[in-house]
Amino acid sequence: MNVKELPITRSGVIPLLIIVQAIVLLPLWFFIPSWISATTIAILLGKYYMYRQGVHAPRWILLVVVLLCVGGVFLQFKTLNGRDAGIGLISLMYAFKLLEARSYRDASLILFISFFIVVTAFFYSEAIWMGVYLLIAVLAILLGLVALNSPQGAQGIGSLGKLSGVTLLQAIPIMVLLFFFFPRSSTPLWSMPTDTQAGSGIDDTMSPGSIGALHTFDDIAFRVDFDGEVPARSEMYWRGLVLSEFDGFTWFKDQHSPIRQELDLPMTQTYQYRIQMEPNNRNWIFGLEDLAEAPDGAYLFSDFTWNRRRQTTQRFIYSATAYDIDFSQKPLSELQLDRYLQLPTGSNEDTREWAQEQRQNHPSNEAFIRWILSYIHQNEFYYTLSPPVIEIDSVDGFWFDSQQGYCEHYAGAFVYIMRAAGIPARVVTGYQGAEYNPYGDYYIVRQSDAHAWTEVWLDGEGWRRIDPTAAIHPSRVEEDLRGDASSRDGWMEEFGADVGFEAPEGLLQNLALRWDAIQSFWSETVMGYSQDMQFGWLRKLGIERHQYRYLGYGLLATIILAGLIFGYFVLRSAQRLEPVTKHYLLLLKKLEKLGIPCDRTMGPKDVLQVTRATSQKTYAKAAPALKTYIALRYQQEAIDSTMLKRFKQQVSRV
Amino acid sequence: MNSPILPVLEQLNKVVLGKPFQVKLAVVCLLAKGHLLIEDLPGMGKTTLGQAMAKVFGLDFQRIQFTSDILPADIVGANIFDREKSAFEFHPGPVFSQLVLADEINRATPKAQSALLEAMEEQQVTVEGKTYELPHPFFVIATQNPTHQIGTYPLPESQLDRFLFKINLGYPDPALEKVLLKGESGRTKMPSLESLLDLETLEGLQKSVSDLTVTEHLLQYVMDLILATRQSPDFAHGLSPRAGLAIVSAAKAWAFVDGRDYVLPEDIQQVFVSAARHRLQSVKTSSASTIELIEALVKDVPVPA
Repeated sequence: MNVKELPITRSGVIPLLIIVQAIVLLPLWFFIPSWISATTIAILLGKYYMYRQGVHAPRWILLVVVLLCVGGVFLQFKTLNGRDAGIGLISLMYAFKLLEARSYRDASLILFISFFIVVTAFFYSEAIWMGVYLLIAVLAILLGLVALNSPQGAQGIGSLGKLSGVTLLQAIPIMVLLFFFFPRSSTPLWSMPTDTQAGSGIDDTMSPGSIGALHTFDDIAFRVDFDGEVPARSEMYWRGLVLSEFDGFTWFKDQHSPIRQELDLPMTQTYQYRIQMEPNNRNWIFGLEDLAEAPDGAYLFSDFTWNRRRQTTQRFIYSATAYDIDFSQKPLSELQLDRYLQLPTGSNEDTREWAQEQRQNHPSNEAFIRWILSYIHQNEFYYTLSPPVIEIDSVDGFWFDSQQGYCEHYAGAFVYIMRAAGIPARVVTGYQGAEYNPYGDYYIVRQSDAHAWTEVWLDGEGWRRIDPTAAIHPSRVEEDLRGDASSRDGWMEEFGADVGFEAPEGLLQNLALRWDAIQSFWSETVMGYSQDMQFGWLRKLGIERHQYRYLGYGLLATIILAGLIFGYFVLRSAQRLEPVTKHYLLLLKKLEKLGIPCDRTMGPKDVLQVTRATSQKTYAKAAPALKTYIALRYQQEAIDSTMLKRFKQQVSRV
Repeated sequence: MNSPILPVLEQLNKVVLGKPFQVKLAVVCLLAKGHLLIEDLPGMGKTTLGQAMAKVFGLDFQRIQFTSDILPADIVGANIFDREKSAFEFHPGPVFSQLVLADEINRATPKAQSALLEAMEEQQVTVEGKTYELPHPFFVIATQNPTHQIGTYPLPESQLDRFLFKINLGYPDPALEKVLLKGESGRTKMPSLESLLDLETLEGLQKSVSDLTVTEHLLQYVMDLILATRQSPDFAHGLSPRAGLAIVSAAKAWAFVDGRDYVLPEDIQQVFVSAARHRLQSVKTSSASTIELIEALVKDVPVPA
């Protein structure tokens, strides 16, 4: 019985194929253009209709529709390459293959292709649910294969499902082995094209309202895993960008070049950490102040920020060290002084004049800074997410009229005043604070933690971080923001109080943190299992990088070993044969070797006759054995041991 | 050995020319106490075979010609009013005979067909509440025209199951047909046939057939074959346990005719196609006929070593 010759129209096979295709395509339908999704759904439904009607689509119609669809994909994407066009095209062709499937070969091709197409869903999402879903999809494909190779088709789907489930379970050890040992490439297997839609985060410009807008996003910006000591939350200033150009309304990042030589500044290591950054489609990455050595794939710029060459379109994991850098030995150059004192002319004149006036009363830089901060503290400055809109002269409008703003208002105004008073200053944007996840022992930084603060240059000390929002009187902080503000670095001790980390409260928050811990494990350890990680733990096993190729040999040896073990079991089951059976099979083999055309489907009498017809000489030798066999097997119920002995002797004589 | 059977075959082969295998199957069928179904075109010698067997085995013989208007009473008999005794008296029909030739059985309506088939199964006939035993031995040779011919009512599967074998006679060998045309065989020789056995001898033979040795090992082979028909996608359903019993008893009779007191896998192979072909229905996925599919299946199943 050859299953390959059975029609695939037998019960349930085609509906099962349709279901498998639907399961495989389902995640893609949410991402590919809707007309492609609709076409594939229509094809699957159409195939079901044709199956019920017992008809086939004429080949020429198929050809025309396929060509139309290829044209459609080309018009949509202007190419047939790349992720979106490729997956669009492949899902259409996949569905069309079902339309023309008529034989076992077609059906098995569809199922084996399914194993590859199922992976394409990872191009769009690497989340856990996708992994779980794809496992279910693999189970469905296996079920399809089992049903396709069952003579009864999909009948008894329960036992078929059990068989495919068991198969999947049996594959798990191999899967784990390959996951850990299969040599990884240093670059991802597939490179994801830029997806400009997704990802939010801090931009390289700052105008009133731009950071406040992020406060509503609960999305995770990155997760941090500290190695060893952990800083206080009020010290967690995650530096991203330095903005130093001001046009009267918006702050811009200015051009810096990467520092290529070794830093010659005296510095001490403070903290070690690992960041798992979510894609944000931007070049800059974040680090705990002060930033120095850039992680792999990024550069340190002269304003002590990190930039990557490419945008972060996939989850990016990097390790870094925080330093305490002593800038005091290296005064600012003329060029830098110009840059950090630059102010646009013809706007915000009131603030500039006010600052210069006040400067007369506080000749020392430090005293002036302290006075400005206490000015903010004592006057009616409010910290709010919904400040009045200021159309022009953003600093004047904020400082004298509204006195309400979010961190970007304070940071912008503070730097403006410092510069007006002749103190070099700049705006720094990034994130401040973090949420501790006790279940995974790491910290979560969200988009809502986005923050802007400032740095001023003090001769003899260097850059000093000043967070003007910390100076606002707590009573004038909007209730929603009180938590944020209270955790900030109070330069003036009286304003800042480290509230520490409270244990998570409430079931929902607990669950959320646990879920995040699982997600973090998934994306860092499973999806993010890279060549480096592999090298890392292989080294622990004593396999060095240069011994990597032995891994391949090891895998090969494992496969051979498995084959040998399998062979051993097969042999052992052969050895357990009854002695009569064993010797009769031996006899048949001998006869076959002697050129007697006999096989296992022939009875012993037929073998006897064939032997006589073929060779008298062999017949003379084999006949006694065959006759004894007949007597042993068919003339009496119980096996006579003396007869068995005779049979063995007779067989050995052949 | 078995001197009584060899002359029987010899005699029959004189009348039915060039069909030793079919003649042997017919004799085996009788020895295994089964009924025989012969399917062939008209004029292939079905009736001749039946008549010859009746004569050689010394059985009394009746022939029922089935037509589309035949009634059950025409087969089993009826109660007829006897004016002299002024009472109903049972007049047995042609079925009350040791060898019944039911000619063209599939030309009758299902009602008439089932009257005969019930008699075959029960070995008795019930008319108006009274049961009448049929004679012993009771052997039916039914003939039928190929079902695609006009005016046929195919027998349902449940009734086909009552027949031990279904065989075809087929066209004779051209050389032998020439002999037949010369008038030197066939029915012309019928009167010259002698009855070789009597009732007692036949029953004695039937008894010794059922006493033949069948080992566990052989039954395993039968089971393998039956299971193969059940698992094969070529057939709508597999063989029933009754079919298995039929195969074993037929194989015993075959071994007996071959002069052995034990059954070999070869005996199973010889009778398997004839015993299985009317009990299996091909799902018609391939162009091969049911017989070819069964032969392929036998070729596929290894004999237990």
